[in-house]
Amino acid sequence: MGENIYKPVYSKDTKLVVSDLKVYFPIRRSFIDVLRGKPRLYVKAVDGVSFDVKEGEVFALAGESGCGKTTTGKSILRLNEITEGSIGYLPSKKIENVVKLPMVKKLSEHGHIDLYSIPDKYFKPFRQDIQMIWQDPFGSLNPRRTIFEILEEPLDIHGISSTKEERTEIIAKALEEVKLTPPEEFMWRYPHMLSGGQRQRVVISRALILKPSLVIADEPVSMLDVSIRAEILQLMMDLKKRLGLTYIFITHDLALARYISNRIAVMYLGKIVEMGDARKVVEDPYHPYTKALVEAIPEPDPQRRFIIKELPIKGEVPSPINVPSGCRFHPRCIALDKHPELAELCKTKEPPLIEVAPGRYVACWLYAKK
Amino acid sequence: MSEPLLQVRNLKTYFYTLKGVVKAVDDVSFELNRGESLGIAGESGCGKSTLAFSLIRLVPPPGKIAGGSIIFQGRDITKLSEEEFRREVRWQGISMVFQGAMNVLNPVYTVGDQIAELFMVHKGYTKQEGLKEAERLLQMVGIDPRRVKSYPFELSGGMKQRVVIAMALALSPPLVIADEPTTALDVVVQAQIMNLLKKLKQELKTSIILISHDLSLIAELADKVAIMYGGKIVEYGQSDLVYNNPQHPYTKGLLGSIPRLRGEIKDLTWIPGTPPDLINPPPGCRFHPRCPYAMDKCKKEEPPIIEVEKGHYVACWLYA
Amino acid sequence: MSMATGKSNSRISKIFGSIKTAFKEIWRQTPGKAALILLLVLVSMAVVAVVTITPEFLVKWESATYWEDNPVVVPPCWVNTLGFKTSKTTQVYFTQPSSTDVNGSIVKYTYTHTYVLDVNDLPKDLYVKGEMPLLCENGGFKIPAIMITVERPDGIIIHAWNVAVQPGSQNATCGSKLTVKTSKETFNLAEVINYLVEKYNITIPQEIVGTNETYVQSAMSILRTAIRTELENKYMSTLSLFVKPANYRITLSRDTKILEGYKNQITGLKNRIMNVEIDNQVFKDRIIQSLDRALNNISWIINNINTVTYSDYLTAMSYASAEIENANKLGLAAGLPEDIRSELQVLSSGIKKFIESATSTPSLIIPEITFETLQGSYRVEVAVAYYGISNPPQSLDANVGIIVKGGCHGILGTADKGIDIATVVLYGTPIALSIGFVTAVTSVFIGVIVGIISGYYGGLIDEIIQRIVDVIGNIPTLPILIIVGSVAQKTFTGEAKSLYIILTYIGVLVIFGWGGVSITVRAMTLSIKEEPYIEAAKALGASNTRIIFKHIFPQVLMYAAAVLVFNVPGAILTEAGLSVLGLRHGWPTWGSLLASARAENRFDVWWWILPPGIMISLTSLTFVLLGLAIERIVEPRLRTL
Repeated sequence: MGENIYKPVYSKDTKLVVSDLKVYFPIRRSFIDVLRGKPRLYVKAVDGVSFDVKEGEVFALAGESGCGKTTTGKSILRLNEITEGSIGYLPSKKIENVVKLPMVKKLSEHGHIDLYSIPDKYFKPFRQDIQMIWQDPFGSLNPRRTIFEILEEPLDIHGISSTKEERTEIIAKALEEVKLTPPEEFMWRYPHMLSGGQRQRVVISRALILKPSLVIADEPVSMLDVSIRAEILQLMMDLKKRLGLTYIFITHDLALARYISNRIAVMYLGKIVEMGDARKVVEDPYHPYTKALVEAIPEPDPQRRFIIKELPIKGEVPSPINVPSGCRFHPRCIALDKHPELAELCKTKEPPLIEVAPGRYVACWLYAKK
Repeated sequence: MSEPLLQVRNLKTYFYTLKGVVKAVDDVSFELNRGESLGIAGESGCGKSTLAFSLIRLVPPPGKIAGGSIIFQGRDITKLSEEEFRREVRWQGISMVFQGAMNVLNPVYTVGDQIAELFMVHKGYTKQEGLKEAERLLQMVGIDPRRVKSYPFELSGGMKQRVVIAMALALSPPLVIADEPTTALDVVVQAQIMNLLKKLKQELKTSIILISHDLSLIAELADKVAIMYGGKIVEYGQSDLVYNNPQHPYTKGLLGSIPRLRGEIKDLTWIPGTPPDLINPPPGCRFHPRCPYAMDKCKKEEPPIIEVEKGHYVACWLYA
Repeated sequence: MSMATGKSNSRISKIFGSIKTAFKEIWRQTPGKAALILLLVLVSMAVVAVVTITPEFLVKWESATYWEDNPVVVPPCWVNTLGFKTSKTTQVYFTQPSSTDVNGSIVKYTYTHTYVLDVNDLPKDLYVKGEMPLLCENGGFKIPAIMITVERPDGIIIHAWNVAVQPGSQNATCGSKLTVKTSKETFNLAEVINYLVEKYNITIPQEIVGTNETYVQSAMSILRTAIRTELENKYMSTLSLFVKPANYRITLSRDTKILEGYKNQITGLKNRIMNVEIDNQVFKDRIIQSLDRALNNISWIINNINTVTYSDYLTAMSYASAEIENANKLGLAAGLPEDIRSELQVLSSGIKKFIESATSTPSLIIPEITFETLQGSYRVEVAVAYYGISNPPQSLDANVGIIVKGGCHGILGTADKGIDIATVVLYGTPIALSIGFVTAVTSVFIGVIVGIISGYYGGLIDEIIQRIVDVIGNIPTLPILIIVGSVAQKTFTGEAKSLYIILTYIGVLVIFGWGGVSITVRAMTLSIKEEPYIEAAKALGASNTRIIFKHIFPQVLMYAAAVLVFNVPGAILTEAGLSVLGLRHGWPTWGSLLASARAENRFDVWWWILPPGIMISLTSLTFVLLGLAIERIVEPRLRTL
């Protein structure tokens, strides 16, 4: 096997390195099942994912619901336990003293540390450094608290400034930053008094008020009207430029990912199937799954109404409890039907993520040297 | 030109809330021919779903059809009694695929039972005959007919959506309204469902009104498009005309905000501001506070509907 | 430091602000408004009760002596406005005499009260009680003499009681109080009868009684006896103060059956004598003549039976008796056979007995008399006199009460033993509210804490808590309460017994009451825990404590408030139910009133059972309405558009 199997690289400009991440959620067994000695089953939400994110980059994690993209994102924030793997992170200057703790595992000479080696009680500073923009502008804001209280919470948790005047100033600035002006008008409102777009600005504002360096944006615009999505995205990009952020952009919308991200990783059933430059991947997908995904996206072209174009995919997404053997996509793969010689391989051996062009990786036996 | 199946004239549907009258659908007119499909697009809260519910006369209280007429197959269905409407029009004449339709299925009955029931209620079939019909319909929407014995939880989201579509088609209505039929579905399944709707439209010559916030999705199906804003239709016409030559600033904004899969990456456009409050809509053209081309006139007078080219109507002062 | 206080100040003002908002929200709704008004009434009642209640009342409220001056089982006085005319209840106590009169060495203190009886309903009782001091002079005790006179509206002045008090105990000292209470036994009934007879001219007409002075006297005596019997039996002696004769009738028995019997016997004897061989014909003739005269007398009565007077009747009868006796004496001389003579003897004494009974009992002459209420003002005067006092005290340290028990009492009437229902209802309020609140607050508090812990932390803790909840949730509470209640009644003694029994009830209710709350709070916690904003808070670095207190607790709190309010009536109803079932604790509660009505089997007395019943229902209603109002705030989906 002479070809290049993808291995995440720790270089001094990589902000984040996810290495062979596995997140399995155990399924609760009934008491009777326990007595019968049935084995514990797992939902393999993330099943061996590796990628690296460069500093200042917009890295898109794309895929259908249930592919593990959100779980990957939450794992970076340590919002769930991981089963295997490591998450290497290059911390920003302000949390250096935590990094010096003896139990923290160093992963490279550039200062990457394993986020999961930090004990819980020392992790708090990282929550300032890594933040999340949530998908649901309705659910992710406590409906019973004013915008001021919502934005005050992170300051309160991290003990940033103590007087009310200072906090009001910080919050006003944060609201101005996301163009909710004049801030005094929004500060005392409740979330339900704002439109979806305004609420999402509050969500962004709450994520940025702690001055993070890495922001994970989980479908930040999918619940907004199409007409205002671009505005929120533009805002996010402006803030990124101004504050020097690194984004991990979780989305199901490949067309959108093409527009805003530098690189993209397409996930299927807990694994990355294709990774590379976002434009290239979307415009010229290699992996049969990516192809199907791109094919399925509707476009505002009325001529399409006369065409019934069958999708290059069959069947349905299998359950993440029983992941198919070999290539997990093989039961749905149309390409496999055209290449019966690969059948044995696809069904038994998992394809590695190999470099097929510079910076372009695909996990498919079609492209691998056998 | 085939005969019109549905003519909506100056339809007004208002919600009489304690805070004031919400003019969710305000003076809306359009026409639909047999076998033709219409897409209604607009932001959330623009009144498109209320319009759909008005057509099938299921506007939830305190909403009411406050004026105008809906002429379906030659008679004004707003004038029918509830009983007549239920017996003669709803489901047999006009059926609907509801938003979030996956939750419409009753979890304690098999899908076969649920489809068969429609035949038992509306056509007086026996259970056996009903189940036979159910099998035929499942086959039609691309589900293994043996699935009649399945319970909803045994089906995937896409299959449930197909079952719901099968139920809408059960009594072979000439008009099916599909209100956001693919929300909460993944793109692949969405594409499969759109393919199914296209197929049904071609094979059964069913007229479909597709309601969506997504202009791309509407382009997949609709022969005609109506763009709604603030309870009114601002642009209406053959879809080729509307998509390729949008006239209204709102339509232009909507189309400009859609990211494309191919071609040059231009900056996406957006429509600034927020949708209007339908209790106190802005005077004049309702879009003027968000319109980059707004003139003085727009703030005072409501724009008339202009036919900019044959079969392409726009309500905008730029063309009047 | 200043920062901390500033923070806590703002927190307190925030809490006050939210309470104010909650009240406003509740007030905005109709049920909420009704609930708040009712609650205000209940709380005011409770406050008044707590301020005025005495420890003595808690102990003695069920003893008859505590309520001595109240009429027993009478309706409230407002029934008069509904057309039920009842006499008033008057309980006047004097500490100062109305007037003082010194006459030589006699000093008389007078206490007067005028009682107006303006309805037909007779009062239930009248008595005077008091405590008079023992005065001393020259080393000798001066005992008060008490005379109670009643001036009736018809002008009759009756010296109802004359009491000379004797110091009961031997260690009586100067100024020690002598207790006096009048009773019907000491009542001067004879005087009443005399005055009534005199005033209302109760005489027997001459055409009935005749003119024989002796017989007139005996007829009058029969009449007086009849009056006395009536007044003693029907008017408890004392109440004869309030009556006047309504009508009376005196009839003479016009039955001739007995007379015919005597006549036949005499005739029979006469015939037998005539057939007897007697040597002395003259004696025989005289015997026959005597018997004939007796026959004539009796026949005269029979013949004049419709017009004969009492006097003449009895005169004729005594003649007849005398003649038969005479015949008997002659028979002895004439040698009349023994058997005939003894028959004559029996006959004559029989007639004598007849006369005797006719002159002493209402047998021949039958008086019928009824009385009716005498309406008007009664002036009751209590005179306390001391004799041989040269230096009378300016004011007498006495306490005199004039009590007339009427046909109605207070605003809610009375129960058995004269218990004032209004008082018990008032004092029952704070007890009921306390039972309700303590139970509800404690069980909801436990339920919320346990529910949040169970829901938030999950795992084994959750499993254990939920199994405990399953167990306590499925044990029926009532039987347990009954068992624990009866054990408590036997176990606790002493002054605080009642409190301990009630606390036991509360304890049982709490133990079995928190489960339901904890199940719901757990479910709420589980769903809130999954809200995206909780995850967002975690991503911001919020600790578990912070999430529980800042995000979960405030949301559960309003639900808890609603449940708390809904739980209040449950405990009150349970207390009442247990009381009615016979598990009494001894405190004046609404349940106790109902329990006593049940014990006396007087569920027909509406004023006894309705007030506690209505209070229980009203309290429940208050809290249910309040709960509904709070529920609408907690659950915004219930708000109308």
